[in-house]
Amino acid sequence: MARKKREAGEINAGSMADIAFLLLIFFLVTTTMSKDKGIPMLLPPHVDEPESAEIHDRNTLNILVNRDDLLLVEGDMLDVSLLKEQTVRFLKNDGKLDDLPESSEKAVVSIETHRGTSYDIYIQILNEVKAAYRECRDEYAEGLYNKSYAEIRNIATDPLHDERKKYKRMDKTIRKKFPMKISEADPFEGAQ
Amino acid sequence: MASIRGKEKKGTPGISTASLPDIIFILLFFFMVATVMRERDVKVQVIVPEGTEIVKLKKKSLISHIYIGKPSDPALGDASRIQLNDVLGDHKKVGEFVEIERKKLPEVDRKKMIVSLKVDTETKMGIVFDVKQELRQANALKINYAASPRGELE
Repeated sequence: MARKKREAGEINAGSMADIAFLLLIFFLVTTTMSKDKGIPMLLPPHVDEPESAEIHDRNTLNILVNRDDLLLVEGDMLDVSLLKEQTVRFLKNDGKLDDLPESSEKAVVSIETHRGTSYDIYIQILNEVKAAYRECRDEYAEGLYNKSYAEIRNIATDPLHDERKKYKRMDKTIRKKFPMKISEADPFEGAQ
Repeated sequence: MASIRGKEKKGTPGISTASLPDIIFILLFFFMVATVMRERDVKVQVIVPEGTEIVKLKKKSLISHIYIGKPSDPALGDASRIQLNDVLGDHKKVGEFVEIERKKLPEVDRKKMIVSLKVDTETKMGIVFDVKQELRQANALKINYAASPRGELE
């Protein structure tokens, strides 16, 4: 007992927590949890010489936007807030009126802008048209399957769901009835 | 020594903080995994439009961003510019940009690539159209117009 054995000094781990805290705070601050949100679109593939498809005039909903962001829908001035209603009427015609489409399958929405049109109004128009399609699809889905279209889509895209295939077929049927055909013409230039 | 130790009082032991670092480390790892480092500085001012038909994009790795807006640096003028990665570019560079971004993805995912256009509300359609035309040429057909839900700030 005369000679003390020197113990090997332990590293003090008390500051470990502080170090970890510093790192933690750094990552807390730099974290961005935001998800990308937006309106998805599918562009038509590039072709060298665009063939002009023969579409009957009654089957297209022409939306023209000038550089002052004013809308001309089928030749009449219209406010963006009324565009959804107009589009729904257009899509649901099913041959009833002569100047509206024969069927929703053939309906095409055409958006033509000026190079000076603001992006904001363009997105609003796109938004309204998409909303109109959603409403039509929803109603159709409700009538056929007693479910909302969003619900069907959710299950159809869920890779773990057992009835996925059945819902995929339902999704297809609805899309066939209301295919989202949005055509975008080249923007016009010049004074307008 | 022994005699001193014998005299020590037996008080209530304090709460052990030995596991504190572990707890902090767990939190730390969570945030490290969840963090997406801001990859690039946005050199243009972008306020995305609002909408109601908004869809959340799921896979972040598949998305490439193109920013269009007025330059943040007033010395660069007022005209809307396109930002690809870290540089302000021209719409003619979009094709090149798409190729580079596409090569970063594993081969199976290349067809699923989405180009997200973060465009300022005040931008004119002309420049957006030029970019879209380039994207079509580069065969990057899946696009997304970044927008925020109506009534909510991003």
